[in-house]
Amino acid sequence: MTRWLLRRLLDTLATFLLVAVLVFVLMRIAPGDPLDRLSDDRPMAPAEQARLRALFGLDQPLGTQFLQFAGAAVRGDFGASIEYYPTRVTELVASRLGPSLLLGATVLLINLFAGVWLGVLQARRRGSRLDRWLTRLSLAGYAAPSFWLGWMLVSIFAIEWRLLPAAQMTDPMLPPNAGCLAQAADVGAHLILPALTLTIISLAATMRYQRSAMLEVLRLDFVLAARARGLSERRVIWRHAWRNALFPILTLLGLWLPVLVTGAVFVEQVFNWPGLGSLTAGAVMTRDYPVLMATALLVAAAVLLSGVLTDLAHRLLDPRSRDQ
Amino acid sequence: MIGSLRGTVATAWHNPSGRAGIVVLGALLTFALVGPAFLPDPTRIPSLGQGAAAPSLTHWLGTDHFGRDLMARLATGARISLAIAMIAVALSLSIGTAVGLVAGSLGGGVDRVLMRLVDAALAVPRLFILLLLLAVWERIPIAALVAVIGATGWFGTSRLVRGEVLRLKNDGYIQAARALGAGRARTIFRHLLPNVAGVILVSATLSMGDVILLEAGLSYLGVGVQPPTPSWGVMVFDARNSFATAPWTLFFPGALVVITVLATSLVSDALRAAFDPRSA
Amino acid sequence: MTPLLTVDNLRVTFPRATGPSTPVDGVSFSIDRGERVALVGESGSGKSLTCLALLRLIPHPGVIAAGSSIRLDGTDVMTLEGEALRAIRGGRIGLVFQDPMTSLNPVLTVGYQVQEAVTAHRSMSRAEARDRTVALLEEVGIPDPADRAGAYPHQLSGGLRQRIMIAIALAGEPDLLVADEPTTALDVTIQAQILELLDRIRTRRNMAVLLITHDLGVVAGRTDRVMVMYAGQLIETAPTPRLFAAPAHPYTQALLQSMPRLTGPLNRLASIGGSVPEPTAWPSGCRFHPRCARRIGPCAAEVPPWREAGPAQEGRCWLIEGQAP
Repeated sequence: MTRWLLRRLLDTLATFLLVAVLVFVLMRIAPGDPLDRLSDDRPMAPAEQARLRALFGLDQPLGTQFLQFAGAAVRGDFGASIEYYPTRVTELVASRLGPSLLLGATVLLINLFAGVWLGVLQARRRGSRLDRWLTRLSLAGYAAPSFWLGWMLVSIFAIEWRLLPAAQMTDPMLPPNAGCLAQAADVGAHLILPALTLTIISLAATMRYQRSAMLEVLRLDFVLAARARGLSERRVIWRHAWRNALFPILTLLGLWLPVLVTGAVFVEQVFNWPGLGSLTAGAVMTRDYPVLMATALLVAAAVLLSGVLTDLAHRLLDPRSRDQ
Repeated sequence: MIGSLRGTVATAWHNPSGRAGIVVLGALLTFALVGPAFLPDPTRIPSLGQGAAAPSLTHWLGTDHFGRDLMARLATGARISLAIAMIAVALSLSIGTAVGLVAGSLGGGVDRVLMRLVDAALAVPRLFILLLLLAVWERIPIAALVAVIGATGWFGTSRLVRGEVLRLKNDGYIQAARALGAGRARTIFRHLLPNVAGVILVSATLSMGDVILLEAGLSYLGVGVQPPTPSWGVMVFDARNSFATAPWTLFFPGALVVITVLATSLVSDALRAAFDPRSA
Repeated sequence: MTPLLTVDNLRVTFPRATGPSTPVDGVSFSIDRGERVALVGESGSGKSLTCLALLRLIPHPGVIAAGSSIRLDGTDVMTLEGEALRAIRGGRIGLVFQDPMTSLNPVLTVGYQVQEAVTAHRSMSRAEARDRTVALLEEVGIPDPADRAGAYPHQLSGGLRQRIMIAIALAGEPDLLVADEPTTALDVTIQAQILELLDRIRTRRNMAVLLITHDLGVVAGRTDRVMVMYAGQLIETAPTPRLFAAPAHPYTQALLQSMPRLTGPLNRLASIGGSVPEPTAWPSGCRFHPRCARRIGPCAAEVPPWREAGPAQEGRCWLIEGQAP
């Protein structure tokens, strides 16, 4: 088991290095100069330009640039942000990590409970009207552009009805000496709309995956055998069937992370949520490429790591693979 | 096999959701192809800056803040969105199928290298790959946008096709064809391609929807279709704060994306169910 | 004395695009307390669905047709729901499945699966349930029962797995044990052991047993009565010795002839030509007539009635010249 994990981690590391090369190459093969935008407002003197180039290392040959990038990245240093110069990219990313994790974890939890429950319900009522309409509804959610859905929800719930805050994670008017509970409630209120938007666009994936995994299991003999021994329906469904449909769900979480991250870029931008998504969206709009490279690498690391964790959980949960 | 492919499409047509999807997609295509001919110029800003007008008999879906006819902009947007989606998906599928066939049938080192690259590419969500490519690019031409979107969508397809090739390689009839002296290329094209056609068709309809969403997102972030060319993503960006004053300018472009993507999903579902009834 | 189980006009239907199919089509029989009955038929005859129907476990989208009656000890099983139905499943009727590999949940220990069957029908403390589980495992001949309870199904041999399935079926102290081809998935040497185990348990507990099999060889000496099923219907029922000595229905005769005998040369030629028809299109008249070597005038057109063919023996064939029972 330990050997397997070690090999798997080494393999993942190799893939990650390849990703780093890929990210660097992608950034540099596209035509255009990251410094162009800085000169949008006023024409830049050649000397000024050269100074900036040297500052960001853009005057070096590509190979040297990559080695510098890779060397610094290994130390967790992605250089300075162009937009927020001289703030280090690592610092920026670190300050944005918490809010993103909060939003992501909330959406993940809702997906795990609501998505799984609805998917199981659909599988149990396979082919019924309920099943068909749940599929259509969830697909409509998946089909909605996250930024549009976000603006619609903000417009209706925050601006028209003034029920919920429209942006940010906290209320700047909240007195700083407010109690823990008041602060938590404030963050919670700000969390509702972005979490709802992300849930609507991501729930379909969870539901469909759970539904088909459950359908696979429900037709197996041991489910019939469990019913034949007089177990309650709840026990048959959750303890016997769902426990076996758990493995595909674990796989889903690995596949689902990119969906969430992609959605977060737009949804955090709409709600001005101070996370990595809005940092990325902002970096695109301001062509802050060191930030873009760092977030892309971070996301790739998260995706690769979640793959390892999925496999590990799979091995720990399945007695058959535990024995191998 | 081609005959059964036709049968599959017929089965999808008999599925109520699938039929609704096909009809809606047909209507959208017609709207995109014919609409712009009958509607005002979507980019021309009327000299009188009268602001957004609500839907009326002259402007069925109203106008945007520059007084441009919303329906005309939506039709041109549909033309661009659907064209980008179709060309990009065709491109991804061709690359993906080619890579999958090569990796699967050659095997060995070629396979290992290709699949390792695909692994790495799959670790970065497609949006991020595109953002890296497009972020520093000033005024991206549409052709380049299509090429870039198409070139980043084949990783999953190549995996699918490779898996299918490996499965079929062990099947009796491929080995029989080889034994009968059919060349490698001939074997691949005569026997493998028809067999992966189903997988490819389902994944094509599915990625159509993904690409439409992706293009809208890129345009929204300013790294996709460039104004004044109308695109659904740009229209949402322009209207993002005007729900209170002109809700139609925000509602319609997004709603059209929902309808389009939903239709492709329904068609994809119906096709999948026709190929594999157990999944329905 | 009223029988333990009475099944009357049982019909199971599945909706199909081409019209409903009826794999079980009008089956009636009864089983007395402690009686050992065999239900024999080829695969596709509807015998497995018949035994699932006893527990109202017909898989979706199949249904038990209206007009079917299943009575257990005077209780109408067809009207039961929820708790009361679950009390029958495993509590009054225990079911042993054909393939113990697929019928045991791969991710739960076998002890857990036996124990949940125990507690499904009796409320008791955890320690009591645990003792009861170990006792059951011991009863079905599992060595080191306390130890083996912690094993997962894939860690046990096929024979041990089937013993676990039997322990689960016994957990609710049923009055009737239904064993659906309990030895088909096992090695030949293990088959005999499992059948012996079933015999021993039946004798000790004095349960009724319904043994479902396609193999008449399993039936001899082990059951009191045999029911022969063909194409969704019963076609003959007789005391076991009588059936072997003087089978009345041509189908039963053909089945007996195709049985490999230790005493004579293996007679493969006598095996029946063709296969069981599809339940969407049962043949008219006697359903066996297309494959019957001895068919006569009315066979293709008219459904033969039940006739008495001997003491406690009835058959459904135009060739039988007895009284209607």
